[in-house]
Amino acid sequence: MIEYILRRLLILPLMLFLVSGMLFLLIMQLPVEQRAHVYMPSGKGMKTEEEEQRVLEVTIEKYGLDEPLLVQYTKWVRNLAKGDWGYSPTWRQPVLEGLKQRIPATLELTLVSLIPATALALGLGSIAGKQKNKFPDHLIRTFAFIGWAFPSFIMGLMMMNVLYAWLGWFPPERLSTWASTLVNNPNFHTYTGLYTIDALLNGNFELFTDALRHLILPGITLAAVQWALLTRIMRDSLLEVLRADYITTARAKGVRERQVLSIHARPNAVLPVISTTGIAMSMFLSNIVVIEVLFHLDGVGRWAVRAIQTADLPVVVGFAIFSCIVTILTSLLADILYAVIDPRVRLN
Amino acid sequence: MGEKTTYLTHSITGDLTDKSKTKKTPRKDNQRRTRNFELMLGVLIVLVFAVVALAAPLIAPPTHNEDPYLVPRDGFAVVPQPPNTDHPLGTMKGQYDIFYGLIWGTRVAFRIGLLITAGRALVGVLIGITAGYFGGPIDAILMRITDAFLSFPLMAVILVFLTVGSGIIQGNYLLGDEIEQTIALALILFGWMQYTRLMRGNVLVEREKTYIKAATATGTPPQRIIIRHLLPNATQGLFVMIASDVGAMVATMAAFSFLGFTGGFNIRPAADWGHMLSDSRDFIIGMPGHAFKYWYTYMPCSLAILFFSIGWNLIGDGLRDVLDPRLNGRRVTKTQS
Repeated sequence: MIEYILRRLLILPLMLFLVSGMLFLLIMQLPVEQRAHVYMPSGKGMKTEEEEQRVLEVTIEKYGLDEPLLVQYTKWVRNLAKGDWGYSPTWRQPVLEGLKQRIPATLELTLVSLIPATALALGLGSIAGKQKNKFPDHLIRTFAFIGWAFPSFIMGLMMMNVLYAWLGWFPPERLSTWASTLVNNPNFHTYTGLYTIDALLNGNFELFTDALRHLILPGITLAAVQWALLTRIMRDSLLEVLRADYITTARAKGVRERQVLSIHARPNAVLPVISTTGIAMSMFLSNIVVIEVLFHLDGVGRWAVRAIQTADLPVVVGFAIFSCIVTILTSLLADILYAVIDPRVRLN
Repeated sequence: MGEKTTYLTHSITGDLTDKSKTKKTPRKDNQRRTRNFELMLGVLIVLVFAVVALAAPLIAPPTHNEDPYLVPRDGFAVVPQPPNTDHPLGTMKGQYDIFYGLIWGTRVAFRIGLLITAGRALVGVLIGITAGYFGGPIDAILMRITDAFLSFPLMAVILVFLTVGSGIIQGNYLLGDEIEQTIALALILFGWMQYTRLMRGNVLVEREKTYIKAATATGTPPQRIIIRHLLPNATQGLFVMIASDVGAMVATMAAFSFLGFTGGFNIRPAADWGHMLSDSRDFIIGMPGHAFKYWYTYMPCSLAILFFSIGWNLIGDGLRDVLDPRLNGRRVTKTQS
């Protein structure tokens, strides 16, 4: 097992190199002045044009932005590793700091949507697979089809219209006004930045319900597509596994149907679900950006979209690096999980 | 062939399988019909869109516009107007006719969906066949590159493309404005990987078959083997992927318009569902006490995108069941946003 993990970790540097290299080549399409602005603390505060020009030259010199491609690349990577991700002119703060501020909101939404979606998908997918072509299967398949074909921003805006504008149940943004004043109060101790958990740790149940109320609508919208994708994969893969010879053998031995499912079929059927994690993650990251913008949640995605509108290059690049790291790490974790479940991979 | 084997195992293990299994045989016909039903419904929905697209000049004749793909306006009213005799679906902010935009937007949707999907499929199929056919180091290198592309979340790529190369393709409006063409390019350049994986897998299976070996033995050049023999025979799952991608691409492009990346109607009142939705963003929640006051500003285009997506996905699902005799064997794995 450890050997497998180590071997898998060996691919990691290669992936990081390829991905960062591609990103770097994209950024290199910009003229050197624009790239220098990534590292310049707020250009507007400069007094004269000459002074600005001087700062520009110093920055280019310091970060080696006019040096050969490979030298620049190593410097760029070294700066990233040191935590120097540039400075955002729009928000007047270092990119890494801004990222840290906004990760909790995105993480909270991710947890609230992904955990129930995955659990439900595995459960309902295997029910549908087991009861193929019966009523539960048709019902689950229909819902999964609709969830899959429904573009999430359209689902989001329809739900917003009905559940917020009409019924007033689930408002947008992260917290109500009274709650955000409470959270910014020095008496409130911030542990994680995830408001639901912080509220519970502070023993404030009202705040917890408020935070949860704001999470439900974006959570459902995000969960729907993810649930649909995983349910369909789970159902199809369980069907395929149930046709395998070892299932017939198990039944022939007289193993109870329930055990056939839980011991022989389901663990094998989960494997394709795990191997789509990378693709599902990429899809999820796209969706979460759209949903954050739609529901005015101040997370990483909304930050990046607003950065596009103000042409804030450092933030956009920061978001790209962040999401690439997230994708690479999740697919690494998925591979390890795969090996834990399937001994064929780690013993081979 | 696959069905026959399942049937055999059923009869051999007849007593061992639980009763629900044995009951299934008479259901087979019924099952078949519902499958084809999916495909038929999908084709029907897409056909309706296609007819609307072709008949656009008849349904919504262009009045005073030189370019029929621009939505005409009646005046400059800031507040949307509800449906009336002149405007069957009312007008948007700025008094643009929603009905006209909806009808002509169908053409734009087909263009966006088909062209971007064609681009992705073309790149992906070429790389996949090359990797699968030549194998060895070429395969290894190409697949590592594919993996690297897969680690790039689509959203990150598009955001970087928009800052780095906004307006890469300039001067024509084939796929919307300059920003949209940049997004389209990003969707192609970073969206081919699923096709590559699929085709590589298919080719690896096909390559070992006798007819390919015979072709190689008779000295057929590789490019001829690839084009004449591999390409037509290794398409399992390809059309399924293409069909569901068409709908997904339209929804994705609309989502990017909705995020506010494109210029909107102030710059170019394009008859595009995404643009129209984006311009109606402020009216989605209606007015206090009248949640659905401005439903006509966003509902028609939302439903159009929704049904376009459902139609193509139904075709994809239906095709999968019809073309894949192993009863829902192939998994659907693709990206959508």
